Amino acid sequence: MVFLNKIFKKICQKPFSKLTSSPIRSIFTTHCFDNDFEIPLDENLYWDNLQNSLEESDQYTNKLTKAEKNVFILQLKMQYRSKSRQSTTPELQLAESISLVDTLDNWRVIDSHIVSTKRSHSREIFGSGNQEMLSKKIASSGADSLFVVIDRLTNMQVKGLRTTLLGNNPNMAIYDRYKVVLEIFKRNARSSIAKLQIALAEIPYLRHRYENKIVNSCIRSINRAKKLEKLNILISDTFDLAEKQAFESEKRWNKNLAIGRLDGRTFTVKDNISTESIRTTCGSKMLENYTPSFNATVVDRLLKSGSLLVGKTNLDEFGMGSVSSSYFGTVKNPYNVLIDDFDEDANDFYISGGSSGGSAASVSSGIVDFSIGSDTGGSVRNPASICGCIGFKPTYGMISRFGLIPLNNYLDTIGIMSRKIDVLVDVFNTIAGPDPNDATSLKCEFKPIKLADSFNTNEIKIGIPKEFFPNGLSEESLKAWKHSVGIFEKFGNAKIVSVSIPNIIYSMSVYSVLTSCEVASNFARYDGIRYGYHSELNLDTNPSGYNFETVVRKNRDESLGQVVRSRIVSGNYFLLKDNYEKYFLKSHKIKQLIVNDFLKVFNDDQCDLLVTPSCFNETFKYSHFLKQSQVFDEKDFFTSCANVAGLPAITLPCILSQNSLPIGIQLISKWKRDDLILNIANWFINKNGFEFLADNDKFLHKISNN
Amino acid sequence: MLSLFHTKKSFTRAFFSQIRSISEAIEFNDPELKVKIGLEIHARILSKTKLFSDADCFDLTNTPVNKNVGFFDAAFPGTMPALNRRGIEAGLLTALALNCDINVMSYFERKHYFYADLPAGYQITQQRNPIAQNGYFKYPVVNPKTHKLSYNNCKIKRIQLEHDSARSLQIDDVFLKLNKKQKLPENTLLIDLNRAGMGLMEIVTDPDFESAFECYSFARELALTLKSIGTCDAQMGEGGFRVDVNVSVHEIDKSSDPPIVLPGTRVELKNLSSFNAILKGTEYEIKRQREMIRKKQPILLETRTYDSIKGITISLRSKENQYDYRFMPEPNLLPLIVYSTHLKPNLDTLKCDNNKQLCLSHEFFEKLHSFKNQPEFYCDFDKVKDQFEHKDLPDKRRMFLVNKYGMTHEIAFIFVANNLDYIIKKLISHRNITKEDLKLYTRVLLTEYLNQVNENPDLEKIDFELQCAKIQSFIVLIKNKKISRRIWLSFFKKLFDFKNLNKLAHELAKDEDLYVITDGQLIQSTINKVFEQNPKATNEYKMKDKKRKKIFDFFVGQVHKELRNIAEPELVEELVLKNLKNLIY
Repeated sequence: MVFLNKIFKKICQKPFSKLTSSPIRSIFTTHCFDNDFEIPLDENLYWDNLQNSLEESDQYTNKLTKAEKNVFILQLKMQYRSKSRQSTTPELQLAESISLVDTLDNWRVIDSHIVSTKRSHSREIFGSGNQEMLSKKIASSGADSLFVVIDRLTNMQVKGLRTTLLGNNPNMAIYDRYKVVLEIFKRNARSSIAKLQIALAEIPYLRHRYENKIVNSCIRSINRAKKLEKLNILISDTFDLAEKQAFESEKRWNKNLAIGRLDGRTFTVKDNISTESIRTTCGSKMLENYTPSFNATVVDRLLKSGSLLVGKTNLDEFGMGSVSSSYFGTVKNPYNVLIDDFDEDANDFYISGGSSGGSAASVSSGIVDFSIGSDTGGSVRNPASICGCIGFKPTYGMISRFGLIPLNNYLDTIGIMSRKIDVLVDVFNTIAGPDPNDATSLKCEFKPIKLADSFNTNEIKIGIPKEFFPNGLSEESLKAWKHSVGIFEKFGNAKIVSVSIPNIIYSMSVYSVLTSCEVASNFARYDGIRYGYHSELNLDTNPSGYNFETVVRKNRDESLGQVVRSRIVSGNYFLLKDNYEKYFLKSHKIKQLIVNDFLKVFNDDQCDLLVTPSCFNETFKYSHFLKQSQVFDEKDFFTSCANVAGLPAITLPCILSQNSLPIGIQLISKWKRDDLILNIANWFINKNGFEFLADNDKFLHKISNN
Repeated sequence: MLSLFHTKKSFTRAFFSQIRSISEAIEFNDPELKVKIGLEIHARILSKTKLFSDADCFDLTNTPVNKNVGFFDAAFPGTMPALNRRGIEAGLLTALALNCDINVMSYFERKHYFYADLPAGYQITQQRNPIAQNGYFKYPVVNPKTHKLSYNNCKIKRIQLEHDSARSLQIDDVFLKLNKKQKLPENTLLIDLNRAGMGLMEIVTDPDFESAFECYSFARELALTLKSIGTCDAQMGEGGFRVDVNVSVHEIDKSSDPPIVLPGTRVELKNLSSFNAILKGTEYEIKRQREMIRKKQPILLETRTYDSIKGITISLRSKENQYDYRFMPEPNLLPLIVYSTHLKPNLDTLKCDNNKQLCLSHEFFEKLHSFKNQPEFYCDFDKVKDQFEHKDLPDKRRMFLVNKYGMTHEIAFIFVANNLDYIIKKLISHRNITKEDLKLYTRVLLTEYLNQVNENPDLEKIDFELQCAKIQSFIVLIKNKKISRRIWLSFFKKLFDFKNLNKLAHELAKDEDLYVITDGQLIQSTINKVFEQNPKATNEYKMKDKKRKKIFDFFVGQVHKELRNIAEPELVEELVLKNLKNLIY
């Protein structure tokens, strides 16, 4: 998208639609550049990109190859022109088309047919009577390609042809005039100038395809989501909404009225973030049928930016846990698909971390471009690391929490997951900034972050916290850590220093106590009276046996999960008058100590950035999780400190383990230096070159076969 | 005509018409026992919107149930409180009126308890660090026996901002409104969320009061003050001004020197629906506790309410098992910072438990001015103080009356308590006034008008200007003796009757033919008529010397009755006496 805009501007300096309409003319329109024009290095890159992009966009019109083709030609006979004005007859045109095909080596015309139609511009070119006759004819001819003699087919037309004429046969290729003519020129082009000329000629065609790129990518995203349905990634889908949005976005792009760079990007939202008239369950039976009447600020800003909401993702009940196991099923890690004998219905599988596991899985598997999660103790960074995508938790208060169903108001932060750091930055720039609805959002004006083209890491000091070598840190995680520090040292010439954050070892305890207290308080509202699960009352047999308390008790008993209930009990215990100072206040004091530790490390110029592991180990099997019984486990050890101190942190996929599972590392930076951490992350991703699952051939192959 | 006697009499009447009956408080003066009473007042903040949401917040009585409810008020998940600037200003104004120390930084806390009228399961209030503390309030007390006015002082412990709970409706209240098919099962609890989230100021006093009458006087003066500064409309009936009374009677151990006050048991009186209920309920409770101590029975720690029909207090619930409210700082609101050029925040004192240090960094304080539009962050105290200077406090109003019109403190007290000072200012601004006229004005306002205040429910509906015009026209009539003194009160009543809304006094007098009768012949003929009708009385007058005064009064009354009370009294008396004397001689 970006490079296309650039090349349009650089070469043409003209809006595209005005360039030309006829393919032949456009090829010889050379006024844009003179003959001495040399292709700079950058342009070569664009050339490749163009090629790739063309191929990518050819979802329905197959690539032209040099392989043998049996072509069925469909010549259109337009009925609306008066005969006197016609300079040619359909028969002559058909002869021209046949000779065009014959020009190409290995191409053979098997059969041809002249069809009269009035509707060459509508989605369905042929009437239903013709459709039936043609489909029979094509099927019996044994052709493997269909050449519809029309200047350019729109994507919708291709789609329509495929469903009505070809019986959804994926092996059939569909061509239009433009494509065939281009192919002839392409085969004969030798010099680089000639190649560029063809590339230029392709641009209108590409743009033509590109016009539908958003709808296409949305449909692709929906199809992939449907294919991966068994991974329990989505709790509710909003495919209809996404498709509707995609058409609108498409229109905006075509009119050059795109809202921003996010216009047309697909995304998912964790199901504990309120979406107007889309149910928001928090993964709990309690809110199974709860549909908010307002949008969270984040969702509101994203929808206004033109992004396409594909669905609401699965999570641990109310975000408590790190497995993403909820009332609606357990999220299976997309890496499961790579396992050769993976059974979708099996009870054991690799988990995807949590609590934003569904969001991470949706990004990692390529369903969407980005996803919005929430991070209380590492709920964005942990699954991102485990599923192999980027997970960013900004500074506390950068993004409004209004509409996020709270777990712990002190620590909750909206987080972003994506595979590309520039998309992530665009999202962050869109959703960050003060919000009058959230008093805790930072009040200062938000300056959009720009990624520097070349980032100088020479002056960066990387801190390695001494305390981050706990028992249980796996060899693989250690390897990833060393690997990443190595990259900073070797490629970036960064200075590596050892630092100490002594109180950080208590961050899990602080997290547990504070979260329990908050949960006890925040969850008092789920009584099933105004919204949420309402237990059925048997008023016929027991007309006066209920009062307010018994009804609420019944509602809560029947709908809240074990983890939630145990945290409510412990939270209420911590908040008792006699315990308040012992637990709650003390936790806040420790929290302050941890903040001070970080301030010391960052402000005394010891270092600019901490590099730490993100998890103890790679993802593990569900059966392994079931053996554990702790309400709070130590899994969030590396991540929770950033929440406690309110610092920005990001996890980046680093290496693949021996089991070919992703392992991430975490960067933590100074308060409010989200720009620094994102720039460094960008630098690291470029240097590291991790292959995302969504680009993995085996993965793509597997899900296309299914 | 208007003697001092008149003023005093009317004053007394006015005073008693307000408290209806005199309290026994003064007679209770047991040296063995000491009474301590403290008050907790919940005053609803007069504001357009609720304290933490933008839902409307006015006219509770005429709003359909559950209409003015924001997402936050109904505790939908994901909603967050947004502090209303008006709420803070009202809190600060009240704090200034009650001479409190303003806390540069205060913060909000959650008070958890579980009840159907609390949708979120907690109330946002200020427990550990309220907006203002340590004030005092000077309030006037009129001694019920001597009618002398003196000022008492009461210490104010704290003023805190909090939000109100929802209103729970009793099934009996709504039963009539439901049709028969919609029969609700027993134990049904109906909740109206209109009230949920409205801003309240909780004002807590020290236990400085020793009698019910002091409490009563304090509450009245406080209501008047809050009304004057416009922070609360003090409508007791609608729950806009709720007073909880904590009463404890202590025994005094006289054996030691100096005598020690032994600890007593605190009983809380809740749901006192009127000022009168405060007086009566507290009185009853003191009496009850005194009796219990005499009988050596233990007093239970409990919450009681006052039944105004039976005139007794009833136990609501026991407080033996003290409920743990599990206070916790409200995480979604930043500390409330009051900024003033005189009150520089000291960073060291700004330590808060809920740990917003990162937000409250030095950087923040340097840029404090740029946060002016963030009410929860920053409130300009100087501006509020400026506003306060322009407010008319009751004491200021009373002193104005005393100094300008030479009223006694007692009369000024009644004037201000009933907002008569606004009327007299309006009336007198018309022209220069003599002392005699001033007395006449005072008298009319204190008797006739005050009578209307107490008895005419429609009075509030009449425009202030119109009221003044009516009073003015009435005074012109009586000054010129155009209507009989005997019908002043009833005439005034008619004047303020809703059906005579647009009539001034002279119009009314003309329409209803109420002008005074000064025609001696008409009176004479009426006397003759009465004499004829009552031969027995005339005879008795002749015979019995002792009964003459009584019979004279009887005839005067009869004549007035015959003439619809509109004849000039002096003339009637004169003529009747003349006629009676003629009978003897």
